Amino acid sequence: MITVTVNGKRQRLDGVGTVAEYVGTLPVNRRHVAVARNGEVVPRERWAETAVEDGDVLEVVRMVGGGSTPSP
Amino acid sequence: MPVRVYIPTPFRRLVGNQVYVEAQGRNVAEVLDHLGDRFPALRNMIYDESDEIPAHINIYVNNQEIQALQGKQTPLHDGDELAVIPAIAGGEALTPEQVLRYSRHIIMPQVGPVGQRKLMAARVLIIGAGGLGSPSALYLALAGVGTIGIVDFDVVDLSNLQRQVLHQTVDVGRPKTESAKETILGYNPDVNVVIHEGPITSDNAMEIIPQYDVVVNGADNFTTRYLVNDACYFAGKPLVDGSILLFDGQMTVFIPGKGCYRCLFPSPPPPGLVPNCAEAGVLGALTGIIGSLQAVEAIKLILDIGDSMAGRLAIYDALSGEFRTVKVRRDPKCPLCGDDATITGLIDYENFCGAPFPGQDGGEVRS
Repeated sequence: MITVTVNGKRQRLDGVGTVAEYVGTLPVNRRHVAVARNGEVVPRERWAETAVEDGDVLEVVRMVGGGSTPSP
Repeated sequence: MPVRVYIPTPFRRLVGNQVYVEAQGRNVAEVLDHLGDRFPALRNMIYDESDEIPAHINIYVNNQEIQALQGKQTPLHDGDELAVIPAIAGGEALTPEQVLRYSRHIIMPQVGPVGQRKLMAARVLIIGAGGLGSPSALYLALAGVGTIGIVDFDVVDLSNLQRQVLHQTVDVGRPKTESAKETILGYNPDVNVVIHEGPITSDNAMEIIPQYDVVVNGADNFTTRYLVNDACYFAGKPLVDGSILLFDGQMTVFIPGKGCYRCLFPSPPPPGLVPNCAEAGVLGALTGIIGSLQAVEAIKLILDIGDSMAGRLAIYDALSGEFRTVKVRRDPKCPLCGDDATITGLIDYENFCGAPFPGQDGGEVRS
């Protein structure tokens, strides 16, 4: 069991050793999020080898398309 | 002694369309000679027949006019910035009214009269006169950005007025570009507002974007977002990107070759998976924050001051009141700007994103 901060909130994680494993626990498609560990975005191909450790600060960045928001 | 020389728009074609060139010299005269040797056409502009700097050309060192220093003998040090500024239209570059209007900017050494003229010579394209485009276009106009291009296809709807400060109640039903132009000119009649009516698509992106120095993205859909990302990369233009949904906002700057939207998000979500603001809602004031951040970054790029948000993504969570920043890097495997790029020109974005460009015939207006 480790404690990490995800998007500003503390969370306990069980059985999660890497970024890839952590993303696997999320209800999102891995192609549609970016993940930063301790302030740096981790490239997708390194998710499997990047460890998540006790005390890490993670940021899960979702894709957001909005901007000019045309009228309905 | 290497120094940077700022080249204003009218002279850029004489130096291969560079905004800054490096030159060597221990003082202003030596640097100007070095410049003149490398760019003979520029030499003809900065020296008259008697090899003197003509009265309509002002030379600045770190924002100070050289007449107030030691003239052409003003010594230069490593990292100094020289600017060669012609008076515009035969008169003083800044009128007394402009000096007053922009005084709160000019008074800051990071801007100064040279910075103000850089802003007045700058051309910024705003993609979408909506939630993000409204505040960014307004603040850029107030700052005196000389040319502001507006791309939009839509008409003002009552539901836009909760956040889109370029438009007012009387504008409902008018094209957003028209309403935007009127509002901007009302705030600052000096701005040249260029309207690009209609959606930006693969057919017109490479005609429109190369006309500008900086692009501010306020697109509301992924099809346009990927198109603008790719087109800015191919045109070599910095892209100030912003996006908003619900209470969340994101903002970053993409400098071509140093990372792009595809490095962060290689593929779009299937249509409908990520809701847009019309479907999910957005806090109106949030658009003001993110759009204003975009204006700040565009101004920093134009003035070349401070630390750009390039390489960093700002994430603002309005509900928790937290503002976080993460570092982003170019992905060597990016299909656009990576080492083995496979995208070498604009692609079929409607097919790639599974959604048409909004506002086109046959396309959904609501994205």
